[in-house]
Amino acid sequence: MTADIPTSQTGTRRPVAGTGGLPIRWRMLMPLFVALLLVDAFPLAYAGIASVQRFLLSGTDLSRPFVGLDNYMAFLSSEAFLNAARNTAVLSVSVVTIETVIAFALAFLLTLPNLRFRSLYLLVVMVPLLLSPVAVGLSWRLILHPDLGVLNWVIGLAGVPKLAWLGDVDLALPTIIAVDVWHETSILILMFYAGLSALPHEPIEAAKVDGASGWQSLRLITVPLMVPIIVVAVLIRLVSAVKTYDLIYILTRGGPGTSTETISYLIWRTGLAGPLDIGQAAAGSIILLLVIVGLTMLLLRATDRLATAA
Amino acid sequence: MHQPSHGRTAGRGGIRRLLGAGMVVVFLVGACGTGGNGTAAPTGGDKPYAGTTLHMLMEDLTETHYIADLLPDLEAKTGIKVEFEQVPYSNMYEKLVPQLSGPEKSGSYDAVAVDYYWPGEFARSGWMLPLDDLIARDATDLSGIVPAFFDVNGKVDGKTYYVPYFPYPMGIVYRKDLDIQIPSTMEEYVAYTKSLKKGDFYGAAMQGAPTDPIAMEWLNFLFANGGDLYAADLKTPTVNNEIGLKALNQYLDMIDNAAQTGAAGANLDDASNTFAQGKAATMVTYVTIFAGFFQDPESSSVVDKWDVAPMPGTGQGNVGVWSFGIPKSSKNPEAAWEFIKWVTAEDVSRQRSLKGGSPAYSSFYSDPEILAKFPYLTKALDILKSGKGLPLITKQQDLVATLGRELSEAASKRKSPQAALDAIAEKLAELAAEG
Repeated sequence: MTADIPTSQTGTRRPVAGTGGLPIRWRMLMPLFVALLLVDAFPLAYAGIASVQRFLLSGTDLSRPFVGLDNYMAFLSSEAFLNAARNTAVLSVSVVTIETVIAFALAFLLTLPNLRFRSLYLLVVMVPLLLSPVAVGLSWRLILHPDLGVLNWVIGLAGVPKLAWLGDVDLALPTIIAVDVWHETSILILMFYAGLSALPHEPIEAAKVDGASGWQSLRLITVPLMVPIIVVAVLIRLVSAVKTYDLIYILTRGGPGTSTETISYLIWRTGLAGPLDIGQAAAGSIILLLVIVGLTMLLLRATDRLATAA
Repeated sequence: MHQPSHGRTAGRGGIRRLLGAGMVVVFLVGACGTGGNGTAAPTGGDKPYAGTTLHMLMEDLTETHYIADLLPDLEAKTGIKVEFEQVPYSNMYEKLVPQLSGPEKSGSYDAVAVDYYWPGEFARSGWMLPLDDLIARDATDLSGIVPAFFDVNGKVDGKTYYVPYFPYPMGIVYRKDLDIQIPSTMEEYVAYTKSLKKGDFYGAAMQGAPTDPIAMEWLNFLFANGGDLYAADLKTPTVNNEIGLKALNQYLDMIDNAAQTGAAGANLDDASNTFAQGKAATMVTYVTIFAGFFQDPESSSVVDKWDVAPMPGTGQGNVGVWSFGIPKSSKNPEAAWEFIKWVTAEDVSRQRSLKGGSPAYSSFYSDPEILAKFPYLTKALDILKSGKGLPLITKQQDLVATLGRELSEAASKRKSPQAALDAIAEKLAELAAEG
């Protein structure tokens, strides 16, 4: 290895003899490229090929003829897709909006000067972040059990009749949103807390000297300074919300009916839980990927713009 | 939880037509057989499989626990160790398919437990090893097992791919201590259960969650009303005729007005817990698999307070069978066959039945020692004789998934009952056309 190290004294970056002329920075990145090739590029290419084939996992005819964009058309034109897309949009926008508001409020409170037990609060707030979605889903399934769950017992003390949190078509999606908010708000709190802690004190102090109220200071100084972080955090959270699958799988299996099916869940059941139609499931995955790539580009563009503005 | 684990607690599977009237004869003929394939020691030495470990995916339910308890016997006889990966029913199919569809000898599971709506798909997709040559080679005597079970979940297109190890007839469990009397017609049963619902006590514990729970439960309503999924030609869907609609309306009426809160989102575990907690008068369910759950004081407050009855109306319930088979992806097919011979042998099967297992051997239904412990087996036998199952189409899992999803759409009022049944009929026609 030592022979490969460039002459750092002069700061020049030149290829070293015997290494094929590849700069060391590229050579050091090679393991990453290989890993990406294996875990990202290959599966992606495979999914892309599968999406244009008639690819059934089971049956008497397992041939895989090329079918063009038939799988895409079938997936996009199905009633199930429209339903899942609607549910995904409602779920994503709801959880991101609610989580952002709650997370910012809590993060702001956590950064108040002279706050006692700050570490304890932070620890409690971070607990959901440490749990896997499956554990969260199973725990909440017990809490929400209509007959045996603690939630109905608690509201029963107040005289409220038992509710079928996951079995009522009007309650199931809002309940999933609530569970998601409980689980995922932590990550946003963490981001906002870090952002708020790093804000310069001078503008806020100056505003205070000028007689600004706490609310004015928050609205006119803190929030505008936090916008870059909020935008990035929201987009990161939105990308993950669009992919929601695990909570649905554990809590409702898409039910009642198909009232809580998301696109990810629909892809799963198309490919592995019914028709075993890998071709159509792959097409659905590519479509979802394109949506996520679009959101990611939005994220990158927003980050660049904000960085430039800063 | 232990006993009834997720999904439903017994399987269903693929079939021919299941125990119909013709099968009653077959069943009774089988009942006269003595059965017993014994646990013949493997050839080629005392323990030729010493050091061999079989990996299997099993549903987490009592029957699996009974087998697990007996595994030291297999190891003592053959040297084979068996490791069960126990999961809820709802996770089984999705874990099996990727393993079974892989190249030969590349899978994680050496033998597989197969539910009654998987055998056609698994065998016709070329995933399973035919067992006929192995049965002939070892002169394995399977004649004591109810022959009809092989039609349900054993033979596909004339070849034997699976050996049945326990049936699961569906009927009604009810609280005999409360003097519950199951009426003779479905109309009366629906009205009766509705009248029994008072406060936190329900007329029926129900499982309306998609997809397997609601599908398996509703099939009993369909069969009890004299309906079926297909006409006799097994091609023309009849599920959406007036009988189907009547059966679905009855089911929805009970979900809304007789069952526990949240029944439309409840699975078998939820419903079983409701019944075990003493909060329901009746439950349409797998009547032979609850000995270890409803009779366990730690999990049940209805110990010795329940009994079994067939469905009202025609008396016909949904009947399935679990079987063992060997996938082509098995790394140890010979040792897997030794396991299957051992676990389905008459002596081991009898030990399972004495623990509370659901008997696959016809003679066990008249075995005084077994009946003394589990007297409801006499009634279970009646249900087995008259029961129905699913048609042996290739994509049986897809059929059940569609059935469950559409029924759940109706239960959640997102579709009218007729629209849901029409959607099911459309899918049934498509699946029948595919074979």
